[in-house]
Amino acid sequence: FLSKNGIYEFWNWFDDRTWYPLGRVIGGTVYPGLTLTAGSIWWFVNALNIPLSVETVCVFTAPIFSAIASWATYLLTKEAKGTGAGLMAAAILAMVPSYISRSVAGSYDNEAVAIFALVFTFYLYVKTLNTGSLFYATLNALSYFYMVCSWGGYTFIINLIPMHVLLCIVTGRYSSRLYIAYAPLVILGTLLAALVPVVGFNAVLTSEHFASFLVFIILHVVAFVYYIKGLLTPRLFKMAMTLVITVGLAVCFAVVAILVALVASSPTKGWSGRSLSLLDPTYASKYIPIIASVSEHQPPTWPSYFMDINVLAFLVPAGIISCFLPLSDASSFMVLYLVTAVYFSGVMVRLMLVLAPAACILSGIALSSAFDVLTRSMKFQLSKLFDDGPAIVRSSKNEKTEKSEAAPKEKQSKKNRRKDKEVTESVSVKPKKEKRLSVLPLEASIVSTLLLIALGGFYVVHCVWAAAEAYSAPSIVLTSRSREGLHVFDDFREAYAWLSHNTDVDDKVASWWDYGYQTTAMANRTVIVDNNTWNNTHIATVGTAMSSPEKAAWEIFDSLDVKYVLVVFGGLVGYPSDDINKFLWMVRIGGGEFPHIKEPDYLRDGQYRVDAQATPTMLNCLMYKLCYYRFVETDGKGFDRVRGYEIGKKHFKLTHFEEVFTTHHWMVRIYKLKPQKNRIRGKLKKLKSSSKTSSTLAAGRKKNPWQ
Amino acid sequence: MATPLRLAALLLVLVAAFASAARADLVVSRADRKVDLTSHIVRVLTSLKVENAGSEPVSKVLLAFPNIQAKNLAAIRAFGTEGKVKGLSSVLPIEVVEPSGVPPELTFFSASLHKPLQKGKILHLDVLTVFTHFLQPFPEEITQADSQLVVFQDSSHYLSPYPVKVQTLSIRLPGGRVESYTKYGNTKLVDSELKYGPYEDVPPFSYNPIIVHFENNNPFAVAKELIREIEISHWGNVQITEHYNIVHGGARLKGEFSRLDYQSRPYARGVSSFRHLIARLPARAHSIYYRDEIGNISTSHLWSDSKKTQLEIEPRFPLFGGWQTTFTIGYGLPLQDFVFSADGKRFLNITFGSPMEEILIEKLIVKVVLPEGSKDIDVSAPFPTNQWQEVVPHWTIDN
Repeated sequence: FLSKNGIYEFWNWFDDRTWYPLGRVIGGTVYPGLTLTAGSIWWFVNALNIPLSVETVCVFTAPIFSAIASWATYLLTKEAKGTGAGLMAAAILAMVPSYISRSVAGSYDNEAVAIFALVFTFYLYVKTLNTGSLFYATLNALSYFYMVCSWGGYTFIINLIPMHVLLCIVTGRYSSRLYIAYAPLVILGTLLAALVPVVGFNAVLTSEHFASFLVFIILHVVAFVYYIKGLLTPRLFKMAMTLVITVGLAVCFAVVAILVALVASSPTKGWSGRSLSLLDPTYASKYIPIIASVSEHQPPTWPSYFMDINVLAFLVPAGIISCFLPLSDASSFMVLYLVTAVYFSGVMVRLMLVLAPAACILSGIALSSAFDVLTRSMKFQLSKLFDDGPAIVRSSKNEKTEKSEAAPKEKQSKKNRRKDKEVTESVSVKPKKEKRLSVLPLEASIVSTLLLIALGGFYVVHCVWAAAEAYSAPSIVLTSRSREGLHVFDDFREAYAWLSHNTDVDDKVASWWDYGYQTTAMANRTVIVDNNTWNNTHIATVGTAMSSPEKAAWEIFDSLDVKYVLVVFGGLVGYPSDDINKFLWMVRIGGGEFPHIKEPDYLRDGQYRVDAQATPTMLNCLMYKLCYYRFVETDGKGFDRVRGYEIGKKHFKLTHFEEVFTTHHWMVRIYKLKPQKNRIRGKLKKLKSSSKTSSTLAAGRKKNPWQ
Repeated sequence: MATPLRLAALLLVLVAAFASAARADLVVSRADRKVDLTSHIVRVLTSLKVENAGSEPVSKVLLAFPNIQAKNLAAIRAFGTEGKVKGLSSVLPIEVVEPSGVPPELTFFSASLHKPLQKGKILHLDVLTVFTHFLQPFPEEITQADSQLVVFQDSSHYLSPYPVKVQTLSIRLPGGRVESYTKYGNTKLVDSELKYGPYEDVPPFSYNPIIVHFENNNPFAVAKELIREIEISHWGNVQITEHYNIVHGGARLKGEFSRLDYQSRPYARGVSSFRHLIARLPARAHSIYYRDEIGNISTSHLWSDSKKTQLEIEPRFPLFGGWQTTFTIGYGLPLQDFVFSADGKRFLNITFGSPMEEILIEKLIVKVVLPEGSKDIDVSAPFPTNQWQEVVPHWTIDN
């Protein structure tokens, strides 16, 4: 789309195929980084006369960017710990399963580009920190801008960097380089971020960004303090210091007070729901069920850690230690990055992705320093063995002395520091450790080298396995291995193809929002809600409809002009992530907006079940009926393979919906709303037959929020 | 259904009026028609024995069809041999003619003989006609459980501008239930073959409507549009890509579609649907793929031997009446099988049609992509086509 109409139309692109009847402003609600990137790659490639379709470009955007991200990781680690560690980190990142999950060809996702932007921003920050060059600082702001364009996770940067700055100030590591690295980032970055429509004024208004401004002020105060420290005599300085600090504190308090006032006035306290759920893991499940309903937002389990980062989990502590050995600004930043990333990934499994580069960098550092130590000691011992040791010993001693000279100089001028760094980068770490560890016997070092190599080997094997098994398989086509060989469940595409060819172009399809994007893209039909969950009420309406009895649901869907209802049902083949298992979230989300849907109505003794003990509300709701319609006739018992028991209510008829399509394995079932006149006839009959029914009807209608 | 009947009645009236105007020189001494109704494409083979009873040599034989049939006529081919015994027959050129003094409800085709038929000589003429959209589903909407009934209409007499001495008509049915058929004189239904005749000494333009209502559950696969792209690469490959837009052209499905019924009793429930198509590809076809706009379709099977490659494809879902789907198949062929060179020029000799069996194509677009720098392009096709040329963007990597 972007390539056809250019960028300005993109901002104003209003997508009426989704979120019927509201429609959705694509330009304003999407992070444009990814589309812009793919669009520009496409232009570039076509300018070279290579006719690729836009889709092809999109498919390959993620791999290209993961390659660049690997390069950025190398740069970042090199800044922090030297070339060897950088190479190691890049190699590890190239294979880490957690990142592969986002960077396989075809995963056209924000994160794919965002991780590159994230790592590159950090690299530029560290680079600026090391060089103090304004040029890199500006680049840093641009890279931050790109990150803002790409992903909501940019708040991670804007909070992590101030944290690091604060840490530096507190530990007395303030330098003008820090100022240069930070100030342009905040000012330019915020200005640029405000240019992105989806962020807009949020860049200055929401709480996520306050931390950066606060630190900005503190930084100025500290900078001022250091400045006058250089100007004034110690005695005067003390006076000025107290003055400045009081003034600074006053300003800080004033700002904080304003913030508090602002925060208190807004209902969500200025935090967006997702960030709140990050800080308080229980928040989401309490207040915004929709965020908690996404499996990616759940806290991860230990196996998933092992799955995603594997041996890195064990290498990371070693990496932290080796970061602390000579603690520089850069390596302290690494440590901080890792610690926060670990926390965030612990809250939300999706943020494992942020952890992945950090873990890679630190393990890279750990591995490379371990190898350094071991090979050094091996060389040392060997040289001793072959009696030409002295030369090396001498040289290493030289280095050692250089290093010890270098250490006190750490906090001296920038130029000196750079010189030192060049030395430090190449050899300084190694001899220092060597001195300490060279007592390692030859055999031990050989064995541990081999062990480390084996560890690396296992890691590679695991990564290849994970990439092949877990992340390369498209989620839309499911396969299972049976005796006859590979069995393919292509039900989703079957259903979408059916929708796209056999329904009218203007028909609206209602389904749970997980399938919204897929329906729009593959079936080319208008959906009610989709994966961009910007309107909670709308989703709640669909949730309500799904959890209402048939008639009420029909009315809700009819008021939304829905013609087809799509449900995903795994009971026949045992596909666990189907709508029945997601149903409780629908109830919660629906109940969050429309209080007549109550979660306890669907639970029997706090347990969620659809068998004979299930509650009548559960057995009469639309979702249950649509999923299990005529299911019992397949095997005579209605045995649900996902839940592992027979369903509760077996024989029932649908009065307001009719089955129009069910896929081969029953995974997708599509129902059509029966036309109005049938309903009225039924209603009239009922009205005549008993007045009692009519009163319940009226009650049902009152409950319906759409009338 | 009423309209064709009325038309037929009208025809009879008109026929009486114009009988005198018929060309009396020729007499059809024997006409045997074999109508094949086993698929949704109607094939009629008419064997005529034409005798020149007049004095002048005759060089043209007229074939008449009611307009209602002529508009559904997909192909007509005539083979003629002269003499008592059937020998080697040759294809006769056929064109549409509008002789004077004939009813406007008829369309005439004229088969030109290679040499004029002399007085008293006999010509064996085999006319193969293929009709599409000729079988009307009735009822037009059926449920999943019903089987599909179709109606076939024709005349029990061979419609000819010449008097016919002896004639028979035999109709081959697909073998299911026969709801009804017009009984008229000598009519027999044996197994799945319906026989009319023989009738003797029928005057010209005699039209005697018959209706056969029978069960036909064969796939009514209709390609609303087929785009074939034939791309010639001078690296030794002819790449063929075919984009299909298929619809089930039979009786429309009404009411629910129940997967349960379809799966538990596939022959009883959902008998009118079809779920696979067979393509016969050339023998050395390779790199065959089958996909649609949302990706590969995994349900296909391929057999190949030295004579042909057979590809069985299954659309994503079974097609019921009125349902449609789209898909693309593509395959590569070795260049030397299809491109020949002579006199410093190269010739591509390749078929227009689709490799699918028993499929009806309503609109066919064939695109031939030639290598860059091709010139003096010349096309010869056995039937009239619309042609145009366009310059496609240059491919930097390929070709």
